[in-house]
Amino acid sequence: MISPDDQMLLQLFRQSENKELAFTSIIKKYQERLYWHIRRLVISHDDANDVLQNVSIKIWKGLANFREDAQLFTWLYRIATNESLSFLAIQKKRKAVDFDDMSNYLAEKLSSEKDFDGNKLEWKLQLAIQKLPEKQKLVFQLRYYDEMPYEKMSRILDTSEGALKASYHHAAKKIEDYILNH
Amino acid sequence: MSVDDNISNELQEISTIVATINKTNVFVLPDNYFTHFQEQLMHIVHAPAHSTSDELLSVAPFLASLQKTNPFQLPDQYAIQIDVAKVIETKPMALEHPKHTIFTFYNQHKSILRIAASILLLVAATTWIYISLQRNNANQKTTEWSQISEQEFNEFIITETDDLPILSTEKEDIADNLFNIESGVNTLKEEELQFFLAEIPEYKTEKIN
Repeated sequence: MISPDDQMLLQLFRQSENKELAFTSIIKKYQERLYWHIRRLVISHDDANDVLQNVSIKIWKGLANFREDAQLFTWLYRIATNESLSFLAIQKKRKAVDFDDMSNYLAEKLSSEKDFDGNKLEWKLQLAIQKLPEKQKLVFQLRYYDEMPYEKMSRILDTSEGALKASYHHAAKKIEDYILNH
Repeated sequence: MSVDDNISNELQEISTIVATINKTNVFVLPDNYFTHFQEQLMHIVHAPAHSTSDELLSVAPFLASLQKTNPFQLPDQYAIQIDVAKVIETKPMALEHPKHTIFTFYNQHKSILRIAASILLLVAATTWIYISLQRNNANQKTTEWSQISEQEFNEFIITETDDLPILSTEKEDIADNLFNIESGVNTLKEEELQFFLAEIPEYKTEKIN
């Protein structure tokens, strides 16, 4: 069920005089979480900013049709995830690269980040995450950073809880392997 | 137990190494990014739908100042040469062509046709299996017969044909058979007859005239 706060914001959004106020309140409430979710997927700030803008415009255009049988938070994460994956798919197509090259490309992007230090464990963790397959990467990040329950994740990614648990397990094991061998 | 505890315990069970890594945010964010982001976003949302000329003027004023002259040339009276009436006449036909009746019929009766095809396939498969089995049986019998020796065959005739019923006791049939034997004897040569009789023990000593 939708939270009372979100329900109130949605009611406000349906009143034309309060539409903008409700929208900015929703963005204010969720923008940081959405930004970091996107940033961890696309790595660079400029790309994350572009994707977040597209996500926000989609929210503005689609909020009127949002059905309250789902949580607003789930719906927003879904849009952000899809938009980030579409962005990466376009990049992949432009560069005509396969999965290995794409993970190398993202690792390169990561190493060009300010303060990057490949010897530090937290950066190694980021590099290891970039080596994961797309689905495992998403599951790991949602669980590890956003501390999301499997039940919510299942609604965002349209995957069973069992499959998500397995993905998270594989992802954590692969990250461990990477850290031990690099 | 809170959700966070569950998550950290879960990770601890999978990998103690990953679980001990500090969750430090390694990425850098420009100052006041989120405040600026909201302003930026509302600017986009409020932006009126520009006309294409206004848009170009704001992006590249020099390009916008250039005259939109068409540099391409057209053959003389090109437009007059196109027979509009013909295009109108032929277009609907060309469009109707792909709507072939067979496709329409298939689309309308898709499920019935599928069931009929399945039944047909089943009947064909059953017939094929039946014919194959019959052929196998016939081949097996031929092989068995070819393996029987002459002695075994003779024994079979002697033992198995004794009890066979007499097919006909009609006078005409018996007479016909006797006539056949008589005419057979009459056509025999003398030497052949003597040789045949010599084989029968009680006639061995007698002479036939």
